[in-house]
Amino acid sequence: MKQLILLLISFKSYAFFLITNNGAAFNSNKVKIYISSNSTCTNAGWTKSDILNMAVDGAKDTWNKVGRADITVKKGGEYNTSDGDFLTGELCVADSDTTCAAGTVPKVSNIIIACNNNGTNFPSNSVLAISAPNNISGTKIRGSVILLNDRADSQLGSFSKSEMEKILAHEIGHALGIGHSEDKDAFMYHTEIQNKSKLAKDDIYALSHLYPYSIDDMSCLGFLGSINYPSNKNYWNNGLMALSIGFLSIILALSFFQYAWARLSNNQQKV
Amino acid sequence: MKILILALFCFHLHASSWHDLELGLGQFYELPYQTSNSESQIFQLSPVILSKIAYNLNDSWELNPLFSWVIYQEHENSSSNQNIFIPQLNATYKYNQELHFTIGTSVVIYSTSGDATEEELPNGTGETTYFSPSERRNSYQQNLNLGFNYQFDQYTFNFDSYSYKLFNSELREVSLLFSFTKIFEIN
Ligand SMILES: [Zn+2]
Repeated sequence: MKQLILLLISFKSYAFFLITNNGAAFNSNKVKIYISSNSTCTNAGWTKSDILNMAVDGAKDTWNKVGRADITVKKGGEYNTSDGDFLTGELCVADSDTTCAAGTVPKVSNIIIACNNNGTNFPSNSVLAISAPNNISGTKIRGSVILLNDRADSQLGSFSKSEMEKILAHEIGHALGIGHSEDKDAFMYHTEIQNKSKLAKDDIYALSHLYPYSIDDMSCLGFLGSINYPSNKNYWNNGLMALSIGFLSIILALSFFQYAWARLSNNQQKV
Repeated sequence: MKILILALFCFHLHASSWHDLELGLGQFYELPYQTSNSESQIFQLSPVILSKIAYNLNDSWELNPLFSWVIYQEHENSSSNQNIFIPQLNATYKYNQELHFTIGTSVVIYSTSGDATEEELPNGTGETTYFSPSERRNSYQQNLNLGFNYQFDQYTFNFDSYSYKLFNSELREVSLLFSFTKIFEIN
C-alpha cells in the first residue's frame, strides 16, 4: 500500500529551457538546413554531404516527428560562400539589440552548418559542436548556425553515423531555439547525446511551446490523416468546427454500420 | 454547416435529457516519449481532474461532453509548467448496465508557460544562461478518442485513449487516461 501511495504522488517534474528570454522561434513552419560550401571538415572526419544528410536524418527521427509542433526541418543543400569567418570565426549570439564584432560567424538565414576551429568556440576536443540562433529580430529567429569541431584533434570522426545523427539533432534543437534540459533522458541534456533513443517530454514541450499549432491550424479529421478543412480564420471557430465535424462523422459512420447491421440481421431472419 | 450542427443538437435536446454529471481523478500517460531512468520506466504519472456529463440519446447510446485537465508538476526552481486541457465529445454505447464503450473526438490543448526565469546550465566546458518561457502558449491538436468504462454503484472506472494521426506512423501520438469518477445524478 505504501508503494502504491508513493507511486501516485511521486510524479516527475519537468522543465524545459529556451535560448532567448522571449521564446524566439523561426517564423516559418519549414526551415531548411544547409552546409557552407567552403567547409572542408577534414578534421571533423566526415564529408559535407555526409554531414548534411546525417543532420537531415537526425531531424527526421526527432523534431520532425513531433505531431503537436508545427515545424519541419528540410534539406537545403550547399550554402555558397567564401567567407572564412564561417570556418574560423567565433560564434556570436546576438538579438536585434546587440551587434557582433567583426570576424565572428556571419549572420545567416535558415540553418547553416560549418566546420569551425575557433579556439573560443572549441576550447578542447570535448566540445563536439556548438549551435545557436545568431540572427534574431524580436521574437523571430531569422537564422542559426551549427558549428562542428574541426580542430586537429576533433573527435567527431570517431562516432558512428547514428551517433552523429543524434548529436546533430541536439544541435538542430538549439538552432530552433531550445536550451538545455536538466532531464538526463532529454535530447537537450548537455552530454551523452549519442546514447539517446527518443525525445523526452522536455524536448517535446519545448518544441510545442516554440512552434505551437494555433486553433486555426487544426484540420478536420486531423486524427486520421490530413484532410484539411479550408482555413478561414474569420469564418467561425475552426477548433469547435473540427470537433463538431469530427464527432458528426463518427456518429454518421456508426449510424450507417448500425443500419447496415440491422438490415443484414433482418434479411437473415427472413431467410 | 453551423445550422445543421445546431439543428441536430436541438433535435436531440428536444428528444431526451441530460441525466448525470461525473467528477473524478485519473492518471495520464503520454506513450511515445522516453521515460526517465530515475523514475518508473514504464509510465510517467500525472494527475488528471475530469468532469463528464451524460445525455441520453436512446436506450443504448448516450452523448458525453467531457473535460479533462492534466496537471504536470511545476519544476521546483524554474517556474516553467505544462498543462493539458482536453475538451471532448464522446458517444457511449451501453453494452449492458455496467460495461460501456466510447468513441469520440477531442481537442487536446498542450499549454506551456513560465515566467522567464534564468537558469545556468552546463554547456560544453562551461555554463550558459537559459530561460524558462516568458508567456503561455497553447498548441492545439484534434484527437480520436476510443475507450470503455465500467460502472458500479455510483462510481465509474474509465479507460480512454487519445490518438493523433493514427494512420501516420511518423506523426502518430497516443495517450492513455485511467480514471475513477463519481456519478452525481442531476435529473
Ligand atoms: Zn547543447
